[in-house]
Amino acid sequence: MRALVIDDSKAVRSIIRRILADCGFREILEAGHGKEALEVISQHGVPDLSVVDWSMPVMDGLTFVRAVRGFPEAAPMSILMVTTETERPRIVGALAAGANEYLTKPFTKEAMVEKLGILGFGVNA
Amino acid sequence: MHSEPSIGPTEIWQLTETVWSAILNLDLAEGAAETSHRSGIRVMTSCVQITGAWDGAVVVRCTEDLAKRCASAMFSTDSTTPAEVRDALGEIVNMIGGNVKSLLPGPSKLSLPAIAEGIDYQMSVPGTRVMSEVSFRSQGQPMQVTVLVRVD
Repeated sequence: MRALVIDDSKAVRSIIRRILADCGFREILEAGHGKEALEVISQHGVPDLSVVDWSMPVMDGLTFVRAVRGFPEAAPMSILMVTTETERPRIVGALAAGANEYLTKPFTKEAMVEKLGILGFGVNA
Repeated sequence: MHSEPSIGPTEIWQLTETVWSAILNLDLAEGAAETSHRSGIRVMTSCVQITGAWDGAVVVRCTEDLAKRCASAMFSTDSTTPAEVRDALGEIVNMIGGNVKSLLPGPSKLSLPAIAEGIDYQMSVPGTRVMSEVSFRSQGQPMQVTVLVRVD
């Protein structure tokens, strides 16, 4: 399984990378913002999962979700938003734009593993 | 008649404790009120601003040593770069600030974090006053979390 972690915080990418590795993801790519993520997908292909922060410089997570859902080849990719945004209209907006699940920061490993299970990713953690 | 929205010490404690337990897995205890850290000690300050239906800021201030320990916990390594320490402290204030925002009237936006570091300095957000502040100790080091509200 392949994943792409998109967050402007290297520390958060590091935490999520470790969780995904424990859950059986063998290839984990990283991007610091949405525009860089689109470039990574263009170069490396569509991953099985993108874990996306909301608030990032250059291109935020919601804009990334809207952009990537515009590409038919990215339709099978699951998108998990992981962010401090908790306002209900924003969550609804992100799901309407194409995110599949939503996890608020701070999160525990158990909470992320549960969300990955909902998205259908086998968990070995 | 309505009361002004408010974040108190209880909310700051709960939000900070959640970050410390979920993300850092470090000890956290109440600390003595300290308006400034000891002279000569390197201190780091991270800040996010909230703008919209409610305007203010959230500030986390701690020793550089504690910031390094937080970064080590987040990166799962004893060796972190100065940039990684700034990144970690920025994310900590981002998480606390984002959850403070969720307790206040919306809609509002959270800024990207800003970091200051040095010795014997003061940082202020002009046009604000302290709404609430809590002093902590973690890893034997002092830390403060402050919520500032814009003054009209």
